Amino acid sequence: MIQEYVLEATGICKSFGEVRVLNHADLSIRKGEIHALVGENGAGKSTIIKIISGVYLKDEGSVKIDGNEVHITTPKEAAEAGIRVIHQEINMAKTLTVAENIFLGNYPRKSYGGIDWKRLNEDARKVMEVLGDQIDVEQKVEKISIAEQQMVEIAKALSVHPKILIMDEPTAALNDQETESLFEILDKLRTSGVSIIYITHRFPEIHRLADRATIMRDGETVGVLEKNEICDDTLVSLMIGKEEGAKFSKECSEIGKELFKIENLNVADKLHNVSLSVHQGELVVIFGLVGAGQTELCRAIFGDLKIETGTMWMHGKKMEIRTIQDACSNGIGYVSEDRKLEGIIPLLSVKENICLPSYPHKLSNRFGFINGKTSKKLAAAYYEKLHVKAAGIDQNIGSLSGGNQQKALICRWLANDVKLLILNMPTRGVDVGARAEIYRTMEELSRQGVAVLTISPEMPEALEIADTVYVMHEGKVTARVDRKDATQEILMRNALGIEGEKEDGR
Amino acid sequence: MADRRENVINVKSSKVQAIRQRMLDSVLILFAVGLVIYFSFASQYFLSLKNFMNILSSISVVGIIATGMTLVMITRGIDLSVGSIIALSGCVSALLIVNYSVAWPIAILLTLFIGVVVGAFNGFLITKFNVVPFIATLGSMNIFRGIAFILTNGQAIYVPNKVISYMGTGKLFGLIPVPALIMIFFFVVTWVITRFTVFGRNVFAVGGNSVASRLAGIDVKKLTLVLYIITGALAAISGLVMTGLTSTAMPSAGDGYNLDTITAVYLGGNSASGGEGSVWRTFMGILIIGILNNGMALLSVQSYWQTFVKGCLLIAAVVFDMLRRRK
Repeated sequence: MIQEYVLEATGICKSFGEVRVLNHADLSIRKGEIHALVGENGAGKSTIIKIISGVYLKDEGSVKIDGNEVHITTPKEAAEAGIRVIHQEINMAKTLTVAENIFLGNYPRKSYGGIDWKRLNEDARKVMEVLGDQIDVEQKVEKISIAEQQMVEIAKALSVHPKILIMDEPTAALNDQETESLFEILDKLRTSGVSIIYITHRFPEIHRLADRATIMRDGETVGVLEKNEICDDTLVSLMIGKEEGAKFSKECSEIGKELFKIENLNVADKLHNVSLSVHQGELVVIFGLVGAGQTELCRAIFGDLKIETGTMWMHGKKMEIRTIQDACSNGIGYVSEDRKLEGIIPLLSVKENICLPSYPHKLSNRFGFINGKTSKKLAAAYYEKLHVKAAGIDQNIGSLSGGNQQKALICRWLANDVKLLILNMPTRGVDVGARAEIYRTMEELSRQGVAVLTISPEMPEALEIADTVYVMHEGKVTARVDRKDATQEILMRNALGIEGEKEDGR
Repeated sequence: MADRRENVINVKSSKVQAIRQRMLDSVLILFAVGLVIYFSFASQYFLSLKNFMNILSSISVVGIIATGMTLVMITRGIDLSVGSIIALSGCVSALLIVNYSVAWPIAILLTLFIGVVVGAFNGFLITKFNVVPFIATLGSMNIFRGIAFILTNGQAIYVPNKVISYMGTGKLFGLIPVPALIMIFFFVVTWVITRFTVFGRNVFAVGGNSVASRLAGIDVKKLTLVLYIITGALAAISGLVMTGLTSTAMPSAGDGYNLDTITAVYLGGNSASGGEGSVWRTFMGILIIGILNNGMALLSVQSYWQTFVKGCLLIAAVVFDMLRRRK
């Protein structure tokens, strides 16, 4: 053995009922390495993590820490064994201060039993300094940004000096600069000997960080790659088990007539003179760092933000949109970036989730009675068209995988005869296979004459799918870039607002 | 593929959930049947058509409101002011008829209008100012009750009106109590609304996820406002029935009926976290309360015990619901 393993999980099996979700999976972590854990949604990544961290009990297999076999049965025991998990969602008492959150449940005490506030804050400051971050530890957590909250989560995990830190897609809510500073911290931690298990879907992050990578598929470990073996094609082929059909390859698109246009749209403090247009067969992507006004633009078009001035045209006709109802009846559909909170209605069936906006004018009579048969037919038609995978249209939508929920939400607007489909980060939390399918759907819709407007904060995605990229910065469109001219540098410079106005392609 | 496996698990768990839900429903029905059998043996007066009609009649004031309350609670709302609306509407109708000699059809319409107005007041507070429903209706509960006392100067008013009396004590074919008919009418109407109309589906959607519903084009505020108006109007009808029962309008009428209504909704097994539910469950809930009260009264059990048992049942039902959703 060249390097000692701090964690060795071998032959792990786990079944829920009759369904086996882990089948002799292995995961070994060396001391002081960043180890990427990769796999499609449902491949078993989170199950194995939950077994290591004591949330689930394993059925078979062994877990060794520093070479000694351990039996971890609760999260507390895992913590005592030096394993800390930072979950994707931030979990903190928002009304308490940063320092209080770092040492929650673990406050330094004074001799008479009261809390030693001075030491608490000092200790917290020390931990934050190790991270190289300058957050006021006496501030309330609700007042700091998401990125800073993430830092606090890390600080909290580090406050107990763990051997192994597990991070589940930590950059999901971060912009590019914040991501880079997180990486710097992870580099530091690696040098200090902490082992990090890093779960991610993003290949650039794997290249940037990982010393090794474990790839899982269908509950099994299908590959362990050393740093020099990691490349996109290998990762993809291991993840999906086949090489073809994985990546979305853009077909040459023919740009047709103009479908949708905005001119000089203004929303107080949020959007300034935004103009753009979408043509038939043209995939338009709005790129920008998180918070550059993309979401506000969606909401303004969708009637959810008050527009001060500006005009919108659909198929050459001027529209007046004041409410979401106006938007829907004008054929605008919006798929939010937060599927769980703003997209699906979890307790209702796929069918009802699809039919929701269509009920009032397409699927009911003038007394408001629903035509059950027509509803079923309409939902089933789009369900099949987009290949939603479920037990049927009567299945509860909450129990579908992310990619299938997303497809069902697109069905929702197609069923309502959508003319403009706004997709806000449509592939967020969607696995590679479903991602390509969603792109293909977007392309097909666009060819059929639906204006498709996509928001993406991910540059590779924007470059991959867009015919035209509009770059936003601080509520303004700073550039319109054609596919043939688009490079990472142009997009990034404009997104950072350092390009000036000279790149105006019109 | 991984996808398919995920679905298998989930189909299974949603089936399990459906079975558990059916179990809960059947537990309730079994419980009601058990009660009926027990009281039939314990009291010779219990098992008769006449007594059954008595039970129906006794639950109708609360039952009428419970239909609207079920919808409100499916959307995760609550209306604590319904008991006060009973009093206020009863008193308004009495004053109109007795003091102002208004013709009874107009008096009844005006009373319903008052129900609509106070319901709109609740809905307005909740949708316009985003006041939490619990607090908004806690406040309005006192306001409406206060108005009833102020208007009547705290006095009960005798209402010698045949139509209103008929609403409270009338019997169709000399057998079926009119209040029970009114109640059943509203249960059927509410069931039709929840089952077959856009409005009904939207109620479930808003209860399941109100933000997503808004972004799917549902006017959530309007829907909420309408629900509180419906509940206000139903409470006004209950107020008329209640006045008819004794031919007397009292500003203290309907005290505690808000909580009885909410108890009935939960007792029937409607989820405390919104997005699902059915008026038939509410009906089962209120029927069980009615059977218990009636049976215990026939057995001359002190009425304090009725309160005690009602509390136990409610907690049992809610705990059952919580256990059901725990995986």
